[in-house]
Amino acid sequence: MSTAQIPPEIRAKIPDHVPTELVRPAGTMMFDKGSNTCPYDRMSQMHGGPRVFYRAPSSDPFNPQGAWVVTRAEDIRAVMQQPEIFSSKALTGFPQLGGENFDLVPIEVDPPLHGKYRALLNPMFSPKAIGAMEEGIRTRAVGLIEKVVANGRCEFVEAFGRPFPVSVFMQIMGLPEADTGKLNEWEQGLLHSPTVPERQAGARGFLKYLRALIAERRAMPTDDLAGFAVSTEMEGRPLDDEEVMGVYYLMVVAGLDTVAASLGLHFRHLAQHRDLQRRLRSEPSLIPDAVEEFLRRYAIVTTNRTVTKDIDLAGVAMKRGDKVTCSTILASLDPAEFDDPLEVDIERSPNRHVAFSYGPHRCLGSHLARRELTIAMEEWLARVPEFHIAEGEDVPVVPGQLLSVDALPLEWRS
Amino acid sequence: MKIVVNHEKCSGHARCFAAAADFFVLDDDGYNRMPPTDVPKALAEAARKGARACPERAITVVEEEAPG
Repeated sequence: MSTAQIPPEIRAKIPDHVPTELVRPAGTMMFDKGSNTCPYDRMSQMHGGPRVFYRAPSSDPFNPQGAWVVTRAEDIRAVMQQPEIFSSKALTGFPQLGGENFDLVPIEVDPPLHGKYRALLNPMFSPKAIGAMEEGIRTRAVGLIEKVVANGRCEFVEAFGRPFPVSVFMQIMGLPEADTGKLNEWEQGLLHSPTVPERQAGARGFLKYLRALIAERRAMPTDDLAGFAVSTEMEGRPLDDEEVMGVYYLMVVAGLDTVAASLGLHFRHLAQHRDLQRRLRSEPSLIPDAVEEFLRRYAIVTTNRTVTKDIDLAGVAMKRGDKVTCSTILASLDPAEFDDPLEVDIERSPNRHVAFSYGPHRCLGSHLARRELTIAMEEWLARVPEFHIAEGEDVPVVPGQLLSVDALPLEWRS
Repeated sequence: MKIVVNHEKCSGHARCFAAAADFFVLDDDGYNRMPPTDVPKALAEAARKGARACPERAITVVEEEAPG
């Protein structure tokens, strides 16, 4: 990687305070679809390079601005634990894709307001609340497995990885089964299409649906999350439509694809490591630890922050307005914090990974995600014989804002 | 021996509880609001394990010598 690869018109857009020797081409992260190397391998190599580098601006509409990329877990932690300096405003760009401007609530809100929204939502996603959802989640997992188990094969992402989190999302929000097809289609468009118009169509589909949902729940309050968001009060007043939209839309973009991506990656590993499968089948009590280790090894999220106040971090001077990219993958594979980070060791202890981020924005859905992933593994290993990837099929990890696999063809004896 | 929790750093990962449910107590939202708490001898290893499990490094173990 050398700065000579950066064209002059791009180099002109790089702020003066960025040291030239730390600039890297725009494709230097997981966005570069041209490479054959697994994004996880490529990311883990970065720990041998500078503590922080500056990714040049690009022509990618989803990532036009250059950004500092912090590579060490310690520094990523420092960024995420200081929201007063590293702001989350507009960090996803999703509302803007649909032509709107609301904040996703609470992920794009800074403290002190962040804490107030978070306090409203925490109870619905607490370990206790998620515990109460267990039966419903398990029933949904079993239903999807039973559709394919007799076939001796399936394309896992389509048969389970995507529909399972959508189904749980519908359970939480209180949405009718009949809407599943529509939601799946918009999810596909918004979060997977390579073109901007298709993403916009997905965004708009969701926005229209969710606006109708707000009106419906205001007219007739319900017990689910959708109803809760319209009836709850913050500082003595109900949330307005923009705020409710912010909550609903976050549930969509945060709850669907993330779990689906994790499922694909976890089951790919299981399919490629049948000795581990056997061990977990004979000792299912190890599954929660296995899920934690998979969350670490196959962290998926890259997020961003904007500097609000000049600060020295990771040995460089960052200025107000700079963008900072924090990769949970880089943090979770840091050899300074994890021995043999690319090895899956389900007995790894301590395993304080950062798949769910650090600081006040720690993933609200983390306890739900863990339950979904654990239940999925428990039910698949209990009901489906030892599975492997279909002969001759390659399942590469796809680079992107979220790491994932596109398809996972599995086979087993039926 | 005592554990001290930095409540500002606790982000509700609930890993302390997952590692040592016998010792750590979470509030209804899944956050650790424990005051500085003495650790019974029998739970010393559990307390250390839970403290080490915290991604935020919010839990400190104070290994005290008994007086005298």
